[in-house]
Amino acid sequence: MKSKTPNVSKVMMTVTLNLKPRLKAFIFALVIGGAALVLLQFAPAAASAQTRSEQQLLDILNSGASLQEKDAACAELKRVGTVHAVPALAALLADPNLSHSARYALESMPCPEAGAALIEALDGTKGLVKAGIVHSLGLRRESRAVEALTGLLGDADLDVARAAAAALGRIGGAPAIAALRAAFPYKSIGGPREAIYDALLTAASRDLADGHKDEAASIFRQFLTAPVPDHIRTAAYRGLVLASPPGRAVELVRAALRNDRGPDQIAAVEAAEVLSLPELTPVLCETAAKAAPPLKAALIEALRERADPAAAPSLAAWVKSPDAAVRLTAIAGLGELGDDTAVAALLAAAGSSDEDEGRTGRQALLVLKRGNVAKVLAANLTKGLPSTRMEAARALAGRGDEETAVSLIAATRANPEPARGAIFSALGQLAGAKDVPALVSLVVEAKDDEARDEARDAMSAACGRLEGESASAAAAAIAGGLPDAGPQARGALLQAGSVLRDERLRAELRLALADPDPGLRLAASRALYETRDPGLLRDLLNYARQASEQGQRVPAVRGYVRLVSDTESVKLTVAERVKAFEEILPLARNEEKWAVLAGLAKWPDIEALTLALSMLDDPATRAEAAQAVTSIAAGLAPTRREHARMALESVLASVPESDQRQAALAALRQIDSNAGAPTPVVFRRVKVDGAFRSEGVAVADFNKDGRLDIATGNLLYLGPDWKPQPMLAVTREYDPKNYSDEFLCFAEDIDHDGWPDLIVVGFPGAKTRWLRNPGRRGGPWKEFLAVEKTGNESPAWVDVLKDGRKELVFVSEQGMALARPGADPAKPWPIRVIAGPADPRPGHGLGVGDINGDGRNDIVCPDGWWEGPADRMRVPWTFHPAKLGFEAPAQMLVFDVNGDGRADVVSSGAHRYGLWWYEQTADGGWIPHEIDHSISQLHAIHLADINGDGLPDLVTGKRFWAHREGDDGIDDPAVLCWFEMKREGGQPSWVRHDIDFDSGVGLHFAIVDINGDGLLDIVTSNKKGVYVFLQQRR
Amino acid sequence: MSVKATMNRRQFLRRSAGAVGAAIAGPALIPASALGRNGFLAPSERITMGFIGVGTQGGGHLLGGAWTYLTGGYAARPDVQVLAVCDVWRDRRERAQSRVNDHYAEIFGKGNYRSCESYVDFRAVLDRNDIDAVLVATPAHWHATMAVMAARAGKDIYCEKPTAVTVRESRAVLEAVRRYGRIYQAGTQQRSEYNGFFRRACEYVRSGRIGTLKEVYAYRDGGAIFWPKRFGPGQPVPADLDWDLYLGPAPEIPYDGNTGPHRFDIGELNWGQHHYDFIQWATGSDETGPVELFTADGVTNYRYASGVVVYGKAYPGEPIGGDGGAVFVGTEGRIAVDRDALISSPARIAREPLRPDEVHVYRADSHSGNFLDCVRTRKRPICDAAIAHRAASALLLGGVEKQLGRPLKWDPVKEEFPGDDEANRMLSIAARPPWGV
Repeated sequence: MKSKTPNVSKVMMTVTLNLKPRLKAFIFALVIGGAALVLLQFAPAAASAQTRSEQQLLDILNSGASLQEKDAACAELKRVGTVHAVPALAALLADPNLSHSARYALESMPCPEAGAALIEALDGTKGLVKAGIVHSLGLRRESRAVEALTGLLGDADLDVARAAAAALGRIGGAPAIAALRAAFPYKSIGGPREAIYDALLTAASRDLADGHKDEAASIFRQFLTAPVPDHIRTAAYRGLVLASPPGRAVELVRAALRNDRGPDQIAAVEAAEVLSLPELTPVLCETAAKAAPPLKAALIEALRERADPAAAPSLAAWVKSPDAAVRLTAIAGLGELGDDTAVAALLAAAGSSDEDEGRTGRQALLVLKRGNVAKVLAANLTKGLPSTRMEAARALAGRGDEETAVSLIAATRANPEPARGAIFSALGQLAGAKDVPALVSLVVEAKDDEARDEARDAMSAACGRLEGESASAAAAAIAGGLPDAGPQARGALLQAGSVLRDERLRAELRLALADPDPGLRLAASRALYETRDPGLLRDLLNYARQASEQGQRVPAVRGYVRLVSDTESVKLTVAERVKAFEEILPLARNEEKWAVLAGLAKWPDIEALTLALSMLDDPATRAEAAQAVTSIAAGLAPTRREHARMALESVLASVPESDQRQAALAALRQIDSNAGAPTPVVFRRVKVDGAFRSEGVAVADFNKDGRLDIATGNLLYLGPDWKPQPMLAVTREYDPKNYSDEFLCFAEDIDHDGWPDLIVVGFPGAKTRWLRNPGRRGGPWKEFLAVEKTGNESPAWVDVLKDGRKELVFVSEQGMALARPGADPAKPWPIRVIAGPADPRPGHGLGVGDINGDGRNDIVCPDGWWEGPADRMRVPWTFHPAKLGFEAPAQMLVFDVNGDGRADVVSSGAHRYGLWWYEQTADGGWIPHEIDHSISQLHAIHLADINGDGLPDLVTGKRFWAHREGDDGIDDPAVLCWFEMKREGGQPSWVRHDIDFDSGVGLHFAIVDINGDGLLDIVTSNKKGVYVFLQQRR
Repeated sequence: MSVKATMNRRQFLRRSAGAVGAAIAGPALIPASALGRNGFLAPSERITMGFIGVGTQGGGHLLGGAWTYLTGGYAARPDVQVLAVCDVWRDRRERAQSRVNDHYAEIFGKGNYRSCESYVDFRAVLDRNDIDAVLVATPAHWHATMAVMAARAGKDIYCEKPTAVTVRESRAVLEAVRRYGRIYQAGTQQRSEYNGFFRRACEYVRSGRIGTLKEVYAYRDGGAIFWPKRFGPGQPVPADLDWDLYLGPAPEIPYDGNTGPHRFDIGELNWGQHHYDFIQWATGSDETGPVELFTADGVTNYRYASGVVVYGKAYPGEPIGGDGGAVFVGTEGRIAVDRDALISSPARIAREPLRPDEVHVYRADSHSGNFLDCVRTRKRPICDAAIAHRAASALLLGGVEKQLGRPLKWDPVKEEFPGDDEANRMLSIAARPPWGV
């Protein structure tokens, strides 16, 4: 048994990995302190036995190998060891470290030499080691060991003596039994008393099983002459009964039941349960008749278990016993063993006001089968107490006695309420097509409304179970009854027939809907609401459209929706159903719309999806529509992956309800993880600071202690444990609803003093400054202005000109520009505009790379690229217009994505959903391809080979609260993730792997092996705080 | 507590309880009713119980839990008196003891009830003559050994699954229970609980409502035990833990901090018996077992003599079945069942009433209630030892196949792999002395 929630079972499922066809590893899942900890453990014995020969294993045993290796070798020899292995194993038997290991093998090996080795080892061992060897001899049933084991019965070490007794009992046979009987503990209280009892009972039981009954009986009798504990006496008496010839066995049972000795009585009852001797039945019955309740109930249970119908008359006598246990057991037993004469007694029990008795009686009636039970039950429909009549009807229904429908119909006329109701209810379950004419008559001839309604409901239930020709016949019978029926009966018949599909009934219903009699019209409208006939769908729709009052329209719409949703009995294509839903929507209230969506959710179909998507806009149906879309999309994903994706993304784009968002996100992730293999890469999250300090970060050894540190332009976090240390005179903590003054950070030794300084890019359009590392002196970092106005939200710090010095790439008031410190780093940096006056001045999106393959860096923006000139100093650079970004992007990455030798560009939506790559064609054109559409606000993206497979992966995520309104998916989780790149036959693909859901990126972050373990780690700083994600491998 | 010391304590208990056979002790020494338990219990008498293993599972049985179907557990039952709790961890047993006693103090008044004692060594519980029944909810590798010893001590037994970790010890449980005529209920409660879903599915399948049964999808496959010895100094054993008694029949291992219930499991040992118990029932195989085992699609599968094939995996696309259940495929229909649902195709299979001439199986509506009823009347419980033995065997045979990685033939009558010495050796595993059954 295991708890269900959370489903530990599934976590704990042990998985077998087929590493090689013949090598298996097992994952053991352990639950420690409520958390599931999964660890991988190889099973040496199980895993490698098939790869090592017996000789190799013996070589290990005979070498100086470790105890662990020798134990594993023994475990394998258990399976493959032969007589050749015996000497080496035998040599270990006296070794306390490895005796148990040697026994693994010797205990199971069939060769006699193994047994001989165990016997031989008895002499040189003692204590538990010896007891173990004795035990193995017993399990091998080594009869050659009897003499030696007999000697050990008196061993001073009780563990050894007990093991010897148990072994002798297992070995059995005359010599062993004689030894045990000789040691039978009549008086002694010390010594292996219980072990000898158990050994003798074991040996006797084996004799009994092997047919040596006399030998067995002789042993059992020995116990009965001795002062043994009660339960031992019970076991021996029981054994003696079973080992005795039939006549004697009956006598023993009788004698035990007569005397007042508890242990013997228990033994007699237990033996009687398993002995099929018919002579025992009267003995048990007679005894039970006189016995007091506890024994009596036990005897009745024994009679039940013996299943001898001869006990039934006795059982019948006890069904009214004042003792509850006796009474209930007798009732249940009578149900199993009795015949139709028991019906009356069981009906009385079923109708009892005592809850247990009623339940037991009803259950008994359901299994009673000897004689003509159905007939007798039917006869009870018209006699006796109303409660009895009701129970008879209920029993017939529960037993499925269909042939009694005629009797039930007759009985409806002979019974007033409440029995009549029960009888009609049974008819609903038992009546078939042949009974419908009679039910029609009951409706037509009904004397009061209640009787008519009951007859109608029974007929409706009966018709509801009919199919094919039976259904047609029933419909014909109902239609045939209509002409003679008055308005009320007509209405009832139409209602009952509404579960059928029949042209005549349909026509009659349409007539009745227009009938001048208001009662009939009402009944007909009810029949219409409840119909299961898809031929009436159009009628329902029109009825709803024309209904003048809500009381008519609402049930009509509901009936319509129910019918369209009913895939079990209404045969329509999904397209027809969706179309039908579309038609009803204008008439539907929210409630019915929800029902429509619940229906749609079950159909993984594009048209169902489209309709559900159309209902995402209305706040009243948005959540339900989202659920439906998610469910449909999940079902569609295997065949229509992109449709499913887009639909789920629509949910994320338009639905604020968090449950629905979570479900949609989970479904989306399911689709993504289906796309590729799982990754061994995992990250350990370290929260360095919970406060909003900056949206960019730089990593360098700022204090020159050999450890990498983290700088945010505000606080410095010193490795290896990233203790915070102020950089400024006043440390600033920003409100996440606003912005910081530190958007991007780059480390660089600006003043060439050997200590890395920090370049800090501020609010877009505002200044870039650099902070001078105070070095050993310490204290606040002094600020120097670098660039007065820094346009674009993704400036870069790279060696654009490839002259060994880096430049800040940004957009100046005059356009695309580069800047780097001049001769005096304390002065603002000279700015070099590389763009022409008419070129774009992008506010978003910048990247640097060799677009045209001439070996020089070019600069890209969403609207095209500037070609780096051969003469580095020449300006302006030639601008080539091209669409390289859909929405305002962040960093733009230039690299050969598809391996065709030409550079391509990756860009993201910094405020929208989407991540794309732009393929450069041979003729210099650009073709966009989507990589992902599940994350919004990808305001920082960098390239790194995270998994070390030689392909560059994308690391990105959501910039939490990039803008607090107007952006896509503002309330989505703040994801940090990497897109694992794969490439096959020139086709790139990416698998999204999420790293964190509550931090995301910022404007810029660092990917660096911060702890020096050879794996790339990720460092971020944003509105959720400062984080380090340490890469680990599973 | 060392083994020696335990023995001394046992002897002391024996003497002090005067538990010499009633025949010579006679009524003069101690009234039989004080020893109590030498005949049938009157309805007014409470069944006295000891709980061996009171961690998550055993604690749930004792005091109630999400899966126990009984508010307050056995301790709250008016027909049960809990006299002993036992665990190798001190905090567990003492907490259980105080909660039981607090409860009784509340019901009966302070000092007005028989106190529940706590024990580190289950043998001390078995030695008490005034205890009728024990509930074993220890780590899996202990179950069979404790069940056998409890039977020898004259106790009735409710034992958690898996009821055994090798076929041999499973057989030993059955033989000991029969030898002593004890009541034994395996903790495979699906036969009784969960709205009767499993019983009904079983009755429909066995009544032929899906035509001839052809295939069963078991959702899980075989399980086995693997307990290599370990060497070295290990970590210091906590003062509150009896590590040696945790290990029991498993090889000696230096303490390593893991006292989990399933540390030696291979494959589906933990949950598998639920599935195979039910499948054995529904295929009418309670007294037999599979005849062939083979691997396909990376899981162990079974073939029964009837030709029915049991696949140790999920029915493709069918979510119902994973939670302890199975899917049955016949020539005329299909049934999927687990703890949450019972569905059939066509739907009428599970809708029409079960007629008296169809197959009705043993019915119990409460697994613990059935056990206690049987303790009183000595009738066979719904998951009796024979049933448990065959269900555990099906699971464990799958474990043998899984470890050997080759097809096997099984003789369910002789209970051996015919002519397959290597496989037969896998039916048992040597226990650490003094244990072994």
